Amino acid sequence: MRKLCRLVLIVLVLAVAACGGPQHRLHHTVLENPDKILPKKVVMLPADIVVNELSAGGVVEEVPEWSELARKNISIALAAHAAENPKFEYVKLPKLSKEQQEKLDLQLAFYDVVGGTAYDTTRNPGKAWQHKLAHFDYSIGDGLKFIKEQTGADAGIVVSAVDFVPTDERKAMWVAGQLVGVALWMGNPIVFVGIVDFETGNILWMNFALEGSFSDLRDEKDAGSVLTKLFKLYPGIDKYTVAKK
Amino acid sequence: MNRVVLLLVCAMLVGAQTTDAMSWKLVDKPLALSKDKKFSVELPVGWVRAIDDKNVISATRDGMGIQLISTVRTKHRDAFKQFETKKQKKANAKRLPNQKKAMVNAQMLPAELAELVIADLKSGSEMSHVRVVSNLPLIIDGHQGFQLHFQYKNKKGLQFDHMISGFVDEKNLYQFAYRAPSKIYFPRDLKAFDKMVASFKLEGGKFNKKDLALSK
Amino acid sequence: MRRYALLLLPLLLFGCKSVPVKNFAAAQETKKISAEENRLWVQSKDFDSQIRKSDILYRDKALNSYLNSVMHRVYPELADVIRVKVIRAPSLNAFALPNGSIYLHIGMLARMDNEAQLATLLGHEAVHFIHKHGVKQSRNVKSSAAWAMGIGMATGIPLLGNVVAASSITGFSRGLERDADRYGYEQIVRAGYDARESVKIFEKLMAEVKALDIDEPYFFSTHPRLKERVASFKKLIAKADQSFGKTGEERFLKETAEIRIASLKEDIARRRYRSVLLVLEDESKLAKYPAAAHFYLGEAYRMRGGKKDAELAEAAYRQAVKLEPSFAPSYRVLGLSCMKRKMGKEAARNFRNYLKLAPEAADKPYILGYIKQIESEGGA
Repeated sequence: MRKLCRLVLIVLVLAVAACGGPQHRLHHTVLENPDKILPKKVVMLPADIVVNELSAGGVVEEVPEWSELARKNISIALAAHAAENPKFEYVKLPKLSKEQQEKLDLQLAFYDVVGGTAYDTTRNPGKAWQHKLAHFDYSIGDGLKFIKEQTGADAGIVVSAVDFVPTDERKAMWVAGQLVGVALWMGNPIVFVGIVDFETGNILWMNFALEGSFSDLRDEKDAGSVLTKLFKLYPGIDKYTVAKK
Repeated sequence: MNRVVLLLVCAMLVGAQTTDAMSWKLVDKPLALSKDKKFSVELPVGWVRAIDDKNVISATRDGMGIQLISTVRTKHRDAFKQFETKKQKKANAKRLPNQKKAMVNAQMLPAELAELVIADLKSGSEMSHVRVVSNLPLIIDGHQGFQLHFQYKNKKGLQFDHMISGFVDEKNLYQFAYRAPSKIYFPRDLKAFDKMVASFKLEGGKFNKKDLALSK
Repeated sequence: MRRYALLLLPLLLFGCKSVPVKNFAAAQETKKISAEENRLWVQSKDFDSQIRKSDILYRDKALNSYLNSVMHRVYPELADVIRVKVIRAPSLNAFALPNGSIYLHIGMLARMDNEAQLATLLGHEAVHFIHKHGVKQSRNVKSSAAWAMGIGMATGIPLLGNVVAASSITGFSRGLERDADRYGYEQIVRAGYDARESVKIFEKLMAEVKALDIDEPYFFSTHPRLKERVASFKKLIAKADQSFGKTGEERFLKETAEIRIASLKEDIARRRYRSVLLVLEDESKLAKYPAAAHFYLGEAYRMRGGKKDAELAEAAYRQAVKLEPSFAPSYRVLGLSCMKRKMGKEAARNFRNYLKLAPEAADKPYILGYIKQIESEGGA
């Protein structure tokens, strides 16, 4: 999710500690016919990862080099995960033309809106929204079909994350705060991952992770651990069917 | 900063309203009445209706971040107040409630009403650069009204289509709105909006199908 | 209370370890920026992208070329690094990003009389980039936020810190704005512009703020107050030698004719009729606008809706038709005006003229409906 949606997601995730429903989401077609629908070959689409510096005063500012490092770590972690747990074959995204890149960017913007709404609506469904959890049917259309045509991949993995790295001053203030009984937020990495079918645009699976303050996506091990955790619920059909009841 | 504070700050910064913040009810029969039963519309069965405000009937199929159809009633004196000058506000503050001068009245032409709606949208920051696709007359429950169709793009370039229809009677302004991403969702759910507008009834109101011949 | 002093101790211990900021002197220096500056450049690039994608740019190649040529005249050493763009909004605003993107609102452009005033504004905005005010401001915000946070925690009101910090985010500090005024002034004099024009843009804005009884627009929210700025420019002008340069009025009016009409159109679309009246009721200013401005003057009177405004509006519409007979909207509003006064024949004639000139008008069905209504009443 891009910056604005990301802030909303922070609000959502932190506001609701324990929701009624499952952690992940599964498209209803996956539940109906998993062997046919689950992708065999996937591409990692450009990850939207922002790593911010969190200053002593709580000012948040992106550090581009850190974001780039986190993106690299997630990419490495995904490739490693795919190699060790071959639920699908993982292929790299080829170099795109300017026109194709613009098309991809627009589709990712579409995913921001649809995926964000899908998660928000089914997060704490209550009686009114329970049916959307049971019959999760969100789609962004076939705008990414051109990637299937180029790579032979069935689906794309979309990763969005935001992380906050406190400055030394902030850490010192945290320590000082502990001494006087004042809690200071030190930032938590939040990672969302989704799988989108290229042919139909269906959001086949989504999951999120909210890590502890001291987890750091700039660290290859931490990034790997988050991804492993996320994919533990892939596809998670049994857990989904039980949880949504 | 604890969780509640962060929530407040983020909500303040983002102005986001999450699904949690509203009450919802699954639509199990088409007829939807306002809380005071003064007006009604038809909503698609299987959609989900927000049930918080007595002046609003709204519903969504997939979540309000994707699409929303709404019927909104506003008293004349409460409509488009942001266009009142300081002088007008001052003068109104001294008048009795039934003597306050409002921005809308029952004698307004639908085109003039549509002009106010466009000004209202353009005054906000989110949709200040809307592009009007069409601006047509429309009969709603026997009243002369308008229907605006416009488009705008969000910061990431994603295009949205937005329809606003409306009319004004002796007491109130009624507006009907529908908004969704231009791709897939807007065309798919447009008929739900059209049906909501066409089914609108004021308590005791008359509806003449022949009058529909004027529009489109 | 001594316990709470502990919260401020880390700030005192760590202190300020910022590297001094060096201004840009030449274009190639923009290729070697620090990590700290790079953060702001990346944010700026993101902002540029959002503006471009959300379709709010006023796209006019000739106008952009002209604006950038004025900028290049003022700062030839930074040609092609500073890029001037226009936003389709009628409010009085202009701002500079740390990466050299400068945005002017059409409302701001429309208020100017000549190229010298434009150069003053561009000269000012460019200084924010050249003197790296973005970096300086960012440091200020962070350090003020840190202190505010510490104080906030000590007082037990955690939000106070953020509110205090946020208020300085809305614009550059007064000191940095003064720097931009002074250095920008020197550049426009060097570029051969009439320095006496530099104060006029602020005098106009001051008059508009007063006449419209509004809070000073965002552009000035943390700027030195307008009065103070007018005073400081007057001092600079008084010190100057008497060989004042060019104003560039003719070219400016020619290049910005369309944008001044576009700004009126946006003002009317947002019911900002008072701004329109303030400008166009002054006959000397009205004379510098294309003929279609009379139509917008009429619209402003109509929206104001005062006792004699219907007559004033009609007179303005008729003048618009007289001076620019091919401007379709004038006929539409004349038709509506006549229709409301039960002058059916004339109303229908105006409506027909409107549709003849604008056969694909978005509101054509309304107009056809009015004509039909008039005909059925025997008026056409």
